[in-house]
Amino acid sequence: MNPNKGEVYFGRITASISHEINNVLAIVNELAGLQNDLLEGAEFGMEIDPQRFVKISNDIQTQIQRGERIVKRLNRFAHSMDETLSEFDLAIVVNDTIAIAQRLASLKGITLHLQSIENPITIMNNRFLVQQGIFAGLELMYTSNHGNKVEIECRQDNGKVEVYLTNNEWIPAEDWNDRLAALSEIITMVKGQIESIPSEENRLILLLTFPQSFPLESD
Amino acid sequence: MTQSKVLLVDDETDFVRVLSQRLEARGLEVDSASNGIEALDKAGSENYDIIFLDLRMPEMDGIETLKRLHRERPDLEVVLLTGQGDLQSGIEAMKQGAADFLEKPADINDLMEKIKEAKTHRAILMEKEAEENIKAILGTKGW
Repeated sequence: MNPNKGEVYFGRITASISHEINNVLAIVNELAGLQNDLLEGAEFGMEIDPQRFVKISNDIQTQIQRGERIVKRLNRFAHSMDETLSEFDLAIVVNDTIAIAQRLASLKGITLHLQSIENPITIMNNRFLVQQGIFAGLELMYTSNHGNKVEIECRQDNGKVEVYLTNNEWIPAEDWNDRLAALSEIITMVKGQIESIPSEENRLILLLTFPQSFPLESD
Repeated sequence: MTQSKVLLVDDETDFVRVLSQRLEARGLEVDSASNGIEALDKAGSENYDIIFLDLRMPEMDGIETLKRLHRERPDLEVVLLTGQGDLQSGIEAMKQGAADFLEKPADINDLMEKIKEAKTHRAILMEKEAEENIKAILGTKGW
């Protein structure tokens, strides 16, 4: 039995987030170990520098805050499936998606740069599918990038929200057309539109447009 | 025994920084690299007893780094130090010649044990190499 695209996407996101959480735990583990090393050293007469403990304590705090941000992101992602249609802030979804995709993009040496976003951008739609669409768009752009940056910009305009994904050194990946078709399928499900705008040289803009309010059958 | 020399390869800089401090406090000489390319560069110019390698890194992933390290230096002892989700890749890396793998977060005593094993293994290899060199010299001279 082959998993559907939604399941594959869900698996990739949770795997990436759990990897991030594991990294936080690994650092906290080493910091706690370092604290223990210093205390053991003191038992053998080594001088204790209180400033080192303050530094370790601050570092643990930093990692806990990092962990909290990751867990909150995971929690929002998990709850994105609660309702078929809901009102949500697209700015939060875009920020979360960039944070999740950044780890995967940086494995290819690419930075995802959010140029501008209005806050909040309230829309009514299927949160899970909207996030899946933005993630698929980002992935399509960073896997077809021979530079080091993908720029993201969000604009609200006349009942719709536009998400611009700009790639300045675009060289299409081998499976570009297949991925674009898969992305188009997701965007159609949320009654959005997709447009790829080539401009000078290797610059390509992928424009994802979402309706601010999901058009119901009776509309 | 001389001081062991360790290379930590991981893009989590805070992890590498703290682990380096802990290993140095145990009398080891520790170097670090934040990606595979940097690791290859360092391994080409330094003599490490052991390399701890993460699998998921920018520029070049751990498996590719491992393959290239072994192509250039087959004698290198590489132990994977990786997140739990990478277990399958860890098994793949073992097939590619990694000496062992440890899951993050790891116990410092387990790391020390691997370092000790690597040092012993390298000493045996060097002894064998020296023995073969002597045999070759004696053979040439006809003794």
